[in-house]
Amino acid sequence: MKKAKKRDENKVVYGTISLPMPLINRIKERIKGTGMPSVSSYVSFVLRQVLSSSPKALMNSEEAKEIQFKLKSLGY
Amino acid sequence: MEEQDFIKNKNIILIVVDAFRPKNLSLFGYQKKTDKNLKKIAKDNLLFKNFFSSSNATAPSLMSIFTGKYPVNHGIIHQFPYTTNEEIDKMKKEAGFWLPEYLRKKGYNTIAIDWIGMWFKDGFDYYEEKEEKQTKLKRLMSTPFVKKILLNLPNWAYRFGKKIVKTRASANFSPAKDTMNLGISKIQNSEKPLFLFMHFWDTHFPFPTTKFRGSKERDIDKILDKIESKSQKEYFKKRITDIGLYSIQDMVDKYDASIKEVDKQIGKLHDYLKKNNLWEDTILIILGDHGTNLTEHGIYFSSSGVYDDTLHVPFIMHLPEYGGKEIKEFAQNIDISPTILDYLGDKVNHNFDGKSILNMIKKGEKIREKVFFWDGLCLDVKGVRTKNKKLIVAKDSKCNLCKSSHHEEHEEFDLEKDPEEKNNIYSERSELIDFLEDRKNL
Repeated sequence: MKKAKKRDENKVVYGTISLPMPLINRIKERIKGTGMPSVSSYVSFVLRQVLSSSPKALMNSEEAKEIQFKLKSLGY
Repeated sequence: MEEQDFIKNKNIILIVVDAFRPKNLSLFGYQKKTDKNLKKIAKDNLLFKNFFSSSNATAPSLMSIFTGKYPVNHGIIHQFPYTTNEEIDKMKKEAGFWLPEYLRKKGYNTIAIDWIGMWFKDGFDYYEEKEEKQTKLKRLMSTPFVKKILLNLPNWAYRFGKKIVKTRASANFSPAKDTMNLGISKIQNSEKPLFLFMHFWDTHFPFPTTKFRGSKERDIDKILDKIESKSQKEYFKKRITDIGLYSIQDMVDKYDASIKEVDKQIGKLHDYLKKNNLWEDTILIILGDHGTNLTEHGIYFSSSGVYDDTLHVPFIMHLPEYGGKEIKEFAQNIDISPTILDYLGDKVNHNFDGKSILNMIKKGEKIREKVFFWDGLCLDVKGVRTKNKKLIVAKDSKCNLCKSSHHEEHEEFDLEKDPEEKNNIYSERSELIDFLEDRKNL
């Protein structure tokens, strides 16, 4: 690990999407006082929620079964 | 709106040791020297004597660390696989801040060495327990068909199978040495500021990765006779089969041996960071996700119940430029994210339940008079603790593990007179009850 220092080239690469201005303004209103730092952060957050699988699907996934198997050997 | 960079860009190493309790560390008065390296690190850094988890279970506790919120607010109150769909739904809608994702957006290389997976993988560039080396047996055991059969075995068949096939839990887990070696290799190869999260499961019963030869003593029947609940007795019998030891002292000694091994590996990391001039450029945090009972409260080698044994955890922190200090004020796992961000110079309000502990370190300012906790293994148990009082409210105390109950409906303890929480002094009403019923006071 190199000594920690800021390196612009190492940051996550972001793309640009277009949203209607009225929608952007509504998001700005919505995030006031919530701690959400920007419109981009809010949109990323909402999209992640939408794109991720449902709780039921998550709990029945192969990965969940793998974890359950390990937990069983720990007594769960 | 452009994201602001941190004022400082330190590397961050977060070490979570599972089921890790202060009582078995000489740092907290234990007679055995299980913690030579932790003691050395704590001497010149920050040692918190009254640090409490928000939960007695891993998943809710990790959530509190990464969101800065109490279980009731981040959503995940119960340990997987007892987490409900409603809890996951609430988590997705309300948890909000997620430390790994936030650090990644700030340009950090985010690495986790763990297997709990699921939503915990979010925000990590790398998330693995170990560099996979598949054996033929492992490949066979990994097939969905075989797994389905194993998971559905009744308890008697599980125990019988254990006797025939001498496989122990050890086959499923990565030993502390491998976890640390992988962690150090990730440090070596990282070009960016690093957030490294390492989770050591070695200290969780049945201490699967620890090599230990028992004494061949057998006093387990005395304990089994003491357990009144039939389901708890059956549960513990099964756990004994898993560990293959039949003496309580052997089990305690194995727990101590597992702590000693994790301590050794943390010492290795400390030496590596010092030798490579990374120590002053790195925040190092070491804590237990929750504690554990060994034989206390009639609960054996499990983190069930919300007595201090399962909630009070060691917490050691190295913050560059801060000297060594022993801190006796309360702090909780919800304070970790706010503290890291405060130290790095982040000014955004994230609506944490937790608070930065920097002023507590620098000026001795208290950040809270009370700690709150939720039971991640029983159905509906929560509580609040001050320095000298503790209240537990159990609306439904059926334990998901052993199916028995570990709490009365209300329990209150005078911790000055009764630090072991043996005498319930609750009568009709407690002055602490309002704190539990009013979430605004969290």
